[in-house]
Amino acid sequence: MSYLPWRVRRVRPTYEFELFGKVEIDRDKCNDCGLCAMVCPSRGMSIADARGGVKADPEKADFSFCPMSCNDCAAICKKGAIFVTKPYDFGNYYKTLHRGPMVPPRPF
Amino acid sequence: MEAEAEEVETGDAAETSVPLEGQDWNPVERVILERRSVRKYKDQQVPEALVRRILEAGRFAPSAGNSQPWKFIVIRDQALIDRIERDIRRFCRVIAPMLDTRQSPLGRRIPWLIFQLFVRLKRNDLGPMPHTAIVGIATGLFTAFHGAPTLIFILKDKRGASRPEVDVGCCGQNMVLAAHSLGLGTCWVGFVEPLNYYGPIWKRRLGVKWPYEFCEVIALGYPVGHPDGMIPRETQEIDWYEDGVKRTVY
Repeated sequence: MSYLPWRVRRVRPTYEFELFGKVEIDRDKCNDCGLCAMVCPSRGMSIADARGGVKADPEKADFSFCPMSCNDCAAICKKGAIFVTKPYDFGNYYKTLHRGPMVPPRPF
Repeated sequence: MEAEAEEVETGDAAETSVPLEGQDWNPVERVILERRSVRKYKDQQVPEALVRRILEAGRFAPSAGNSQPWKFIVIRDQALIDRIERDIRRFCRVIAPMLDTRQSPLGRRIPWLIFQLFVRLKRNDLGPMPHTAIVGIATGLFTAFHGAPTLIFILKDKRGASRPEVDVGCCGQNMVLAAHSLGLGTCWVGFVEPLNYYGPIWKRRLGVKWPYEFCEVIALGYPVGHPDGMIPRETQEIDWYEDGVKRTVY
């Protein structure tokens, strides 16, 4: 008894890049402060001067490799210009089950 | 859901309770919902009094049978933190070529084979994020403890009732929420658990003897900027049983 058929469960885990989350920047609201790239856990995955802790240029940040869809970028942005549009799908490693759409906290 | 604001009975003792359904968050809920893991810290050290307060919050966490199967090690010595980071980096530099199929000097097939073996033996350790972290630490893209000035190691007592890891989780999250309510930033670092078997020298150096083991670390410090805030997150399917009816809500 399982939510996944055994054929799926026994598949070797792999990390396909197409399953990374997607982040969108609303260019009209963005003021290029670079805080989003600084706070991203993976430094947007490809920013050369992120190691120095310098506020990085979001133009250089490769947000197509959003690894956790943690939304830290959305939380720190003062302009509300950046947000995760597609959460990270773990693919064969960990099939996400029983999830609904991404929603902010609801007070009911 | 919010058609009329009704009086909702909250518990008698809840000083921070909110009487009206759908009304704004109370301070505790706000801390919980605005918490974000912080990976960018100022150099400024956290005052000892605040760290003691945070440890107090951990001390009062629930645990199975009140066994409190934890022990804290606080490290604020930058030289010592650098040494641990250096050893973790060395370890990752050895491991990364064996697992990283994208840029390993061993080619593609050997890391692929090693990865296929290890992912069957220790699947949880090789999730995409830990795997990315190993490669990232090896290449210097990030550090294990994110440059935090204070580290709180939570050791688990293996003899604890039921599942001591779960109790360590409760204890740690108490500390995390207390820290965020004080305006500090935290980040859970589970990466210390491999030190139990890949880096036993650190068990000796830090006096971690049976029955204790490394379990989790909470990095603590003053965050750069204001990283806390409410964000959208995936809803999850919830099975709701009530009055003989099962519903599915999200």
